[in-house]
Amino acid sequence: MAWGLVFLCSLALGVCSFQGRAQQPPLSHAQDFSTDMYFKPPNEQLVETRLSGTNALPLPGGLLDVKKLKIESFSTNGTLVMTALADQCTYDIRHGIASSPGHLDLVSGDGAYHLDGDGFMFVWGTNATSLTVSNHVRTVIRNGMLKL
Amino acid sequence: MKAKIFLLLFAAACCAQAQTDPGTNRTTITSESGYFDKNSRRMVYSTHVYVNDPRVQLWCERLTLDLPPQGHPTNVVAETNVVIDFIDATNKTYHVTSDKAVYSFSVDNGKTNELVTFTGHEGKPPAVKTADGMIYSEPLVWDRTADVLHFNNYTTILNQSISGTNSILPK
Repeated sequence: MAWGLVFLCSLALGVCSFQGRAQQPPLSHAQDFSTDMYFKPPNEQLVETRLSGTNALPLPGGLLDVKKLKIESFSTNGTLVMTALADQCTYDIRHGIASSPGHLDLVSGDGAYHLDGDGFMFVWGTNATSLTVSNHVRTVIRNGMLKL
Repeated sequence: MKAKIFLLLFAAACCAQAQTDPGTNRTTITSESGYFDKNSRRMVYSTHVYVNDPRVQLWCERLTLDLPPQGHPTNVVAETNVVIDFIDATNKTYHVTSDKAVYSFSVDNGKTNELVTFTGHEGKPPAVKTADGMIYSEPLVWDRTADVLHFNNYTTILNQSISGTNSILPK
């Protein structure tokens, strides 16, 4: 997937922004940051996924230690598809992977689906976007959405 | 040989339960792990999967849901040690066991089609058990739109208190 990436940081030392997928992570502590990932052409102007957090601390190997992670996914008409929240994650900017052994809460944009579990990995790959939750997965589906 | 058993009580029971127990009027799925692929819009639950619904309880080791962008899941597959319990309005329990259960949903020319196909393996076909007895069938198909169970090459075991006859051994 041809991701466009804009990383906006309100840094303690200033503001940085950059585009492209193979970029260097910020070298200093960032606060209240967000990263936008865009759809493939012809919708490359539209945000597909927004990753944000209250703090991001650079780690060796091009990783970021992100606090209060929030991931929002949108459709091409701008509708919110889902929101995922976690207290912490390690974000690998170059490979587009956000992972943590901690708890994850995810709710669909319409509130019909709620999923939570412990230990997760979001992958924004070239050809696939996926979420793996390792343990204690629980999904609650609003009545009528899944008729059994 | 093919037989049909009309199970209108299923629908009545399910509606009754949903109305009288609004506090649990939702579906909960628990498992050890889960995987969602955004491109295929497929959610896979693995290991000790349990589904609790006002109408149904389901246990299996792997549950796959195909989730369209809008609306109802089109395909749900339960695999490995599948157990499904239904309870009717008279608290009569229907207990289905199989290797695999495939639920399909479609709308063709305005008509809704909902089928659940249970399959097993040689020597262990799907089975539905009630207080009255047990039926083995390969496959066992539940047409949810018509509330009809279809049996193929089936074997029936009636409890002695009901039939007054000896049980029929399963295939």
